[in-house]
Amino acid sequence: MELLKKYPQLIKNIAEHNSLFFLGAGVSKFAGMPDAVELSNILGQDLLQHFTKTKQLDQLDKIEQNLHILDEIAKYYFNIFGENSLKNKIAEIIELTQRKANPSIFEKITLIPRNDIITTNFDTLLESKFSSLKDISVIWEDKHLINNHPLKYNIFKIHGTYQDSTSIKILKEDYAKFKKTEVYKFLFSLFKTKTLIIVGYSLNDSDFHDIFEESISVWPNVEIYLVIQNFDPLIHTSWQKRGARIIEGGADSFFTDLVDSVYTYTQEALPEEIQTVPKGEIKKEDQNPFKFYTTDGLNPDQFIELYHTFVPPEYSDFVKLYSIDKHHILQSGRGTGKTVILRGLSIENLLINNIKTNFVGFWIPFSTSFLGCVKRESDDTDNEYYKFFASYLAILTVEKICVILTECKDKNHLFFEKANEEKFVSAVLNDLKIVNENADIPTLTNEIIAIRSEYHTAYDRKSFHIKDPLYLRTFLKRLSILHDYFKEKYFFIVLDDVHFMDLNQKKVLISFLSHREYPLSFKIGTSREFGVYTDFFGATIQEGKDYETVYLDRVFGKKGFEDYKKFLENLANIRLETFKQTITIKELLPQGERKKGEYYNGFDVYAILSSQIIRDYITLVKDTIYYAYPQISTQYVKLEPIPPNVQNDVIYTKSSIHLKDIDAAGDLRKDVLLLIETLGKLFKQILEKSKQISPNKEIRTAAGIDIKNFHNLDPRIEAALNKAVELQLLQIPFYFRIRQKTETPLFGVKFHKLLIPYFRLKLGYRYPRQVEASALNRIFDSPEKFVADLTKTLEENEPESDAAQMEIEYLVT
Amino acid sequence: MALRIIPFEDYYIKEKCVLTCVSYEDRSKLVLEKILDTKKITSCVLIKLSDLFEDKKPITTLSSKNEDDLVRESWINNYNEIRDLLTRNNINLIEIEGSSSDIFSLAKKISDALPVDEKILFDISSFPKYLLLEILRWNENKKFICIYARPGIEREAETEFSIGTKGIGVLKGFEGSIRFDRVNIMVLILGFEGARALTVFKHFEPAKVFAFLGNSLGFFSTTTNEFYIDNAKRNNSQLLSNQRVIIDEISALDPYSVKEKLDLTISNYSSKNDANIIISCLGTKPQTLGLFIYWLQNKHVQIIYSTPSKRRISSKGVGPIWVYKIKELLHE
Repeated sequence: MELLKKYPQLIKNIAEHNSLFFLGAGVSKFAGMPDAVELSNILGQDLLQHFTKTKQLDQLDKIEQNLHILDEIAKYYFNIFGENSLKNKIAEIIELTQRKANPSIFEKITLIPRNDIITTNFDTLLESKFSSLKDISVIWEDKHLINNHPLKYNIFKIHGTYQDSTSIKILKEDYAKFKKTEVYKFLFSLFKTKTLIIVGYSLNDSDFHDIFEESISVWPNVEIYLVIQNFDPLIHTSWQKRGARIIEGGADSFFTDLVDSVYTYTQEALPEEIQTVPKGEIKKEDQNPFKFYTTDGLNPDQFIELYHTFVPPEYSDFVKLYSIDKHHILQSGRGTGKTVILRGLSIENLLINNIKTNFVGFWIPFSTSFLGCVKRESDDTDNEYYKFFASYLAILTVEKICVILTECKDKNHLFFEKANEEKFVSAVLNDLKIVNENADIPTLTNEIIAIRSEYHTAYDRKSFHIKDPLYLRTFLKRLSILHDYFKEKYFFIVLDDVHFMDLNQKKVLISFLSHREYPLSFKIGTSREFGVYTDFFGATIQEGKDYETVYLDRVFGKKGFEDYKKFLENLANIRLETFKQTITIKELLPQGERKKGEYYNGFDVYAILSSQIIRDYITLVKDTIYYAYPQISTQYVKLEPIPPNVQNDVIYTKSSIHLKDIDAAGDLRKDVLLLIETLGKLFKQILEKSKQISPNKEIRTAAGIDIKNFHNLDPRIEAALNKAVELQLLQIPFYFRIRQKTETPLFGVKFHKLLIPYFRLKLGYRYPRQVEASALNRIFDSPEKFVADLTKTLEENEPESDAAQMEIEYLVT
Repeated sequence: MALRIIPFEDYYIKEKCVLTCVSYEDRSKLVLEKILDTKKITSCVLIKLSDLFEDKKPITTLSSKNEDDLVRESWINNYNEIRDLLTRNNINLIEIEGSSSDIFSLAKKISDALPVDEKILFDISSFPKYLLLEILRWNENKKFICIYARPGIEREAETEFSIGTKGIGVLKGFEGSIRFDRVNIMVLILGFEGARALTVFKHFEPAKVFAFLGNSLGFFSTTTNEFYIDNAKRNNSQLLSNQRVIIDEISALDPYSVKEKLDLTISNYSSKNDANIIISCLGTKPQTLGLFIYWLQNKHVQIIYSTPSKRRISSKGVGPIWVYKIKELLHE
């Protein structure tokens, strides 16, 4: 990287796609293609033959004198044989020589991040080195300009291509015509904003020089780099006068250095934001099919829209929640679809989607805004707080049911006879000793909200008059007055985000759960372990008997990655269809060639990187679409395949953003960062060693560890591990098989897959490495030594078979 | 009232009572020295949130001191020095001790201890923001002249502000009007503690966030102002990169301007009456004053607090000091 050490800004501009390459004849010559002189020579031989044969000997001298000047020889050729013959001859020469060419230099160019490229070469060596046409658009005529795309490698062949001999520009008249084209104007405008890098320039690239000269007179601040093997101040004076920085070196070594420099740059400086993602609330005009990525803040209509496309109702084990004879605790981390499933049980959803059930659910999302106002006071006795909070919980539930009923009434999901409504509301008002002559549901709702608000400001609990803590049951019975729909139904009280409850509040909830009374059961969502199973008075609830726990983030663990992929494909295609897109998700996210620094593209990779967190998958696709099609946030845009290099850019950025979640670790930030970075280095070392040992074997990455003798773990490490799991930087793996040859229980943690790009690891997954807790304890004292020791130990103890202990995972080939 | 904010040097102290608190940073002590220099003060109400600094083990040798030890030691030294200072100046000292877990009762105790009919100098520089709000709420009818001193030297690095959050809750008396049939809109007035702001955001997961960066233009040079904004941006970068976050600026030192900005921003939503407004101030004390002034006219908003999991000395000395005539501010 010696050649480019002095030019960090150049590297930055190339890495950030702000450059324009000019590839002159010198580049193709390196590959073995004829340069202008050689081409002229070949054409000249034809002319010499012709004049000898026709005995026009006076012409021979002229030809021989001009044999090295392509312009002149081409003109003779044209005059003798005509335009078609001239251009067909050139096409023929190029086609023949291209077969024998060594295109390695062009392979290197494909490894550079996408930037526009201008070339005067007739051959197709460059474009053929891109594995598919997903990433490139080749432009040589005005009609091709429509294919120009900021997210592709746009290759402007200003002298045409041998594949279309009529496009070849060789005569002065051709160049004159070219200057009147839209392509010329477009290129002219590119100079304004791009850094120009000229490689393999020769004096025969005169028409490029013309565009350059013309544009620089308009935009004198164009930043220029001229890469040249033998710099001659006499020949290259005009470039120097224009302030071009001269990089002395051959095209091949320049591109070799450039690939490495840009790779290093992108490793060191990942962007922290995708600028084109719109900020603030999700707008109606936003046509990104993945715009809904969380249930937070969704109104009921939006939720219904999301419900079909986030976690379809028929999906997997959660149907257990429908059972009426038990409470359920749905435990899973953020983004796994917990809220969608729970909210899906709610009456509005059942009615709109015409889902026939023997139950009716009411979804009640908790938050600190509600629960934080009714915490236990220091002088509350157990009994006093039980009564206070149980009463609050009952009123809060009644309030939410009233809000839902209002919604059902307003939107006509359920029609309430006026007389029934009055009768129902009067009964409830009477129960709660409220006097109000307006016996309608909105009035009732406002009255209940007023009562509930009093609990929030009940600073003096001793004198506060609470409502009957068991009122909820009476209220549910009253619903049958309102509508027949509620008759003979089981009731599900669906309490979401219960992790916001503190210990005392959970104890009160346990009292509700332990007091089983049909037709009422509770469906509870929590992102952390519920943790409390006994109430204030010693009553307990038992798993299996009173309740079941459903671990949503393990559903796919049992069925495997293929099922997860199918599930994601299905939901993505439903979303695309809903937003009137004709493309499928696999077409939208095509997989490209796995080239240096560019491994992360294709539908499968997106699925892997989401690490079985559905929201992460949706967010990845959403942000890729916003990046590739910024205008979609305000209008409909027909989606077309997103080039692999673009997907790759987004993934790197998202990976970097994901790691930045470490900021939420607070005072543990330093420890968590050190832990994650050290593990990243360890996995990288193992990967490098594996490559050295078996260069021809498919290499997979260890991206997890199993900790032996967990009880020996230093509390500081344990705290960092737990925090990293809480922040979803690490995950606790779900093991398919019972591990063999294991003497002591193991505690496993693995990287969230989205960290893999950040550390440049492989997506193919290898079994987790076993690490003694005592070894892990040394991580904070000397992380470098920890990595060195562990790498050595793990090499020495390389197990024979991966398969025996492999976690359920997958490989991307 | 034309002049709401006055440089300390230009303010002629007439008040006899000062309300201040003990801190592990030296700002309250240094400001008190300056106030006592005027020889007008006769009594001091000194607040001690001593539970924050209770520790079982004694502070021993220098080599064994960790960050918590240093904070505790600094707090004890400042406390002793304030007491000496007050004794030397023959000031009547009223000490009020309370627990950070019961700010509500503490604020009530403070209210009971403060004189009723006279103006009180209130050095807000070192008060925890949530205690400041609670004191103001309990003393809505009292006449405060607030003093705020910028720190002399401040830490800058992001990691130095990486402080965890021990608890997040609703501030008593500021419960607001929260309903299930409204979406949650959050307003975060940001400071340098990015980790805390991010934790608050992740805790509530609101539909939309207005994140305000403090702008001290008019109080400092453009360069200094940019320095503060850049620091806040950098330390809060993860929060600010979130799709649901809308970034804006708000005055760092002018409470009235803070109030106006909040009014303008939130009125778009409250006029529609379709949002629960949840506000957290992680910025400066003058911004907290501004939030309080806003709340006085908008009691439907909910104010939440977040308590740091640990304390860290992040500043030293005093910079410019300003006087805020809070009573006039309220009545404008």
